[in-house]
Amino acid sequence: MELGPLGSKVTGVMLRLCLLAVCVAAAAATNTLVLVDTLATRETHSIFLKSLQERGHELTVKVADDPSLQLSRYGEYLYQNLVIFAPGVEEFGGALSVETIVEFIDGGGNVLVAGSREAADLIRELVTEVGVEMDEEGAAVIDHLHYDANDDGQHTLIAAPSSGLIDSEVMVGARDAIPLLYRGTGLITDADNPLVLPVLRAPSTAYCYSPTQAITDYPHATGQNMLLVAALQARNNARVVVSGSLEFFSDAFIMASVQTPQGASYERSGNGRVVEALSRWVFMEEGVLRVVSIDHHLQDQSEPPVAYTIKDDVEYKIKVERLVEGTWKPYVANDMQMEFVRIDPFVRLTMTPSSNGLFSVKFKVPDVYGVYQFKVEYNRVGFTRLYSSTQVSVRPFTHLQYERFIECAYPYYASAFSMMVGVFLFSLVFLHHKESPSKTKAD
Amino acid sequence: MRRGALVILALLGVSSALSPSTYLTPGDKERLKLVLEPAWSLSDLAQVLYASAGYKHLGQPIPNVQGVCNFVKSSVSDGVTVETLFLASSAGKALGCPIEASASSVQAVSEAIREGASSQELFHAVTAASNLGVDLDAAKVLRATQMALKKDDSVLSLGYAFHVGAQLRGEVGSIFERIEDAVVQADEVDGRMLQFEGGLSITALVLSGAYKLAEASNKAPPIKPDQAVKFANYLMSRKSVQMSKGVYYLLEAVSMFTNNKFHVPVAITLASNVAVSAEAPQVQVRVTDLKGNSLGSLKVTANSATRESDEVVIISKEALTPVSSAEGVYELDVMSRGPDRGFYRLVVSVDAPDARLVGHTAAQLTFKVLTAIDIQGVEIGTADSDQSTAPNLKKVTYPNTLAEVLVADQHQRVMLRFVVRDTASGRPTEVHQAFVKITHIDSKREIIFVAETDANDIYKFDIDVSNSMKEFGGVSGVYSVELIIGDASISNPTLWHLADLSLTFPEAASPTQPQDYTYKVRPEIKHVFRSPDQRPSSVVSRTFTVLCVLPLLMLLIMWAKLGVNVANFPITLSAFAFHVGLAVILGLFCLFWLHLDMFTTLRYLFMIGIVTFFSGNTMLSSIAAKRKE
Repeated sequence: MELGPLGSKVTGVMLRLCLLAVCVAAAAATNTLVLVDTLATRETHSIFLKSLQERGHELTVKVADDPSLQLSRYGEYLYQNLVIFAPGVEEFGGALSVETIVEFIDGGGNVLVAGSREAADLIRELVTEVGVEMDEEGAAVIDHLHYDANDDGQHTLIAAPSSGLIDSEVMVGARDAIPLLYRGTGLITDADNPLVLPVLRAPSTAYCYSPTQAITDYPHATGQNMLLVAALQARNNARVVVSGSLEFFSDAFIMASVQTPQGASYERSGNGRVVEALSRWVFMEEGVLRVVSIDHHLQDQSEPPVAYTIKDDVEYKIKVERLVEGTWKPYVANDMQMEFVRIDPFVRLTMTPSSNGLFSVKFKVPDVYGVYQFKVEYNRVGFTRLYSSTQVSVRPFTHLQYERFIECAYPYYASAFSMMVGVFLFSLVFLHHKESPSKTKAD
Repeated sequence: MRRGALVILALLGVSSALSPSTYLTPGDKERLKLVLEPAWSLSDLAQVLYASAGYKHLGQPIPNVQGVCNFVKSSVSDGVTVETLFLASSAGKALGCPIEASASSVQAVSEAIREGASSQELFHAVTAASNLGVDLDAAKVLRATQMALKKDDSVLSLGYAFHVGAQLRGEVGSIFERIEDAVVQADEVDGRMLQFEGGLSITALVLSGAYKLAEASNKAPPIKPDQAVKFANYLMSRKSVQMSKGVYYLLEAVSMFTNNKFHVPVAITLASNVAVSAEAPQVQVRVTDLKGNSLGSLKVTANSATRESDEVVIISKEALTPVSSAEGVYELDVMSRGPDRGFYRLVVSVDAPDARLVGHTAAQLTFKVLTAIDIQGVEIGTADSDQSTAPNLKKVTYPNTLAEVLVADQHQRVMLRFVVRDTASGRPTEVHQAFVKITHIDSKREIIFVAETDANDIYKFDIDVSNSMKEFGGVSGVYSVELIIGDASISNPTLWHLADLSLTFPEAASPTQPQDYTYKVRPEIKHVFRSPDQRPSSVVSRTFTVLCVLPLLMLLIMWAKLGVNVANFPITLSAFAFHVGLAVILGLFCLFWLHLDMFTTLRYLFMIGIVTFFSGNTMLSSIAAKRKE
């Protein structure tokens, strides 16, 4: 996509060459559809869109009610990612609807949605589908203790302290102390829903209400229970980020300086860094893990047996890689666990990592036979869900594998052998005994 | 008469309330400069043009002018395209080192002006020609332009045509007429901005072209003053542009809007902080053009200042006084009129001695009056739910924390009352945010309650511990009680930790939830192996072994005494085979016990068994036959 059809041929060609180079670098370009209210958004949010392009996204910017919109053709998705920067859209154009977007997420697509104070019902309906609720129309996040000096007076331009960011470097980048600018509505989520993550919590003193009306009802969202940015990683690893503020991603906020009422001032807001990290995360460029190989065998062998016997000493190895800057690199962590499961886990051990991404663990098979699974389920904030299970059977000892020559069983051995000797001798004597004639006479 | 004047004033207010509310501040200029800066690596001619023209508009010195000039000159060689000529000559002009025309470039330029060329190509050629000082046949250019417009009459094409027309000497009325066609195609955004589809560069190109053309033909462009203001608003909304091309076009258009014969939009902005308080009692208004330059000494009047919540007018028709220290800034003392705190709408008009100024009447600005508050009469305590005893309230003063920890259980209520007093007026007042935040000290879980006022503006907060078990999750422990007082129009929003509260909920009410391990490391499980059964001592087993072997020994001894023999053993093959077979079968059982498995054993047994069976049969029948004899 070119930003604006104007321009000399020279720069046009250069731009295209550059894009080509980027595309080649990022082996498989990802297609990203950006829906906007007006095309001016691609200029007001040019830093964000440019950073996507530089990272190899093929951007298609369209107005959200464009009648030619479609996400899939002949059952295949045309885009991997969807950005909805259209809080005002009353109805999507073309084949797009809340249902198709939910299907898109079910099909593994990633979505970034930004709302605003005046977000239309359509956007509210969409975010409700991913477990996030936007506050009522007209309500704004207000904080009389954490606002930026450029605020228009209502204290709705929040300088949210970075301490409200989720504790996950994968999602929001390295933590620093620079506040984030935010102007928009508050988000409410169900705290018991483990799939929805609080990316940015509001400060304790914030609340969401109409700034021009006196508070008569209890505000829907107050303090740290209110989210400014929420994320969902669905069970199929599709990612969705919801922000109550479209301006959070804008050039103006990214380039703005921040001055808090407490007197601290910062040359640049923290938005640029967080937006970059968050968009990397939501579009599957960060925090993506995969299982490369699985290996299990007896400790002194290298090939897996047909079946394990109870009390065998087993070694299990799994190789995991992480996507770093477009290439797969070994993943190292010391909290990867392996379970040996027969309906319930019988063994759960933390595996030893190594620098080549190989995690290994040694253990003794339980003395209960049956059908087991080696199971690795790695679910950490910010990372894709890693799941691997390998079925093996565990059988009891064959009769040969039991202990032999048990001292306390000597009476049994002795009686069995004496019986055998007895039978042999008795058959010999019984069949071939010759009565002595003297004896016969005596009888 | 007076009513008529009021109506006119009101109409004026509506029509021109869209005065540009912002201009290119020094910060904006610095940022735009940063966007242009990378061009000085001298790798791309277009970027160099954007940067040199942009720097000129920003009034910034160009670093290493000579080097840049050399780069521009070196990019012009024989056989370069008209576009390169355009870029180089325009950059040369902006840098102040004009490119000299060579024979080949003159030829290239005149060849480019042909019928069938697009208006963009014509624009490049005509601009290059005028920069190089080459004379052109105006009639020919005009004809080619008309052709180009016939072929493509998009806004973009029109924009280029306007620039072509502006640079021609002679009659260009046919192009001038098309300005109106372009302007009607502009889209209105939010009722306060006008833009062309395609964004900043097209809008800026068309605008600068239209005004230049109008100046060249010495006729006012068919753009109404309020349209000019709306275009200016759009340009200002795009000042955070990040592409050097966009910056170039933005600066071209903004410069045009500060310096043309027809419309100069006036930006009326607040120069002071939006908040006015006793410490800073002045509202300051800055009147500038879009680039932030002063428009000279003007008469600036505050038409009115109205409180937004109740429409109380505190100022009407008052002149603002110029601030001596800053040019173009005018001020008005608001606090001397004893305003209540809140938001005020200030309507400012500028008397324009210069007819070119637009957007200068009834500009709306918002300021707010801040006052300090203090929290008084704070009493916190507990009372029995059934109100059998009088509440036990303790006084706390800001900013202290109650020394003792309040204790409450499910039969009690926690009560808090306080008054928020406006220090300026001395009266109790209501604030937007009067929240009580109760935080569990161990888990940091916070619960926020809203304090409500009664008829006397006394804030009250009252919870029944047993009824609010759900909010607290039934978790007993020490909670900190903090009061948050905030409002957009108070100067000292407060977060005050006023007491600690120990709540006790009944034990049964707090069911222990199963621990959630969704994103956490689970506890390790180690399998507990069954311990081997205890075995009897070896003395016992040996004794019994001996006892088990004893019968066999006794058999052998008794047989020996009886004189057993096998004298009847027939010397036949079958007899030998049977007994050997029997022995081997017994031996095989021993092997089975030692290391053979079941199937191997059965195979051997089958083979030996057949031999033994038949030989046994033969032997037994021969014995039986012998007995019969």
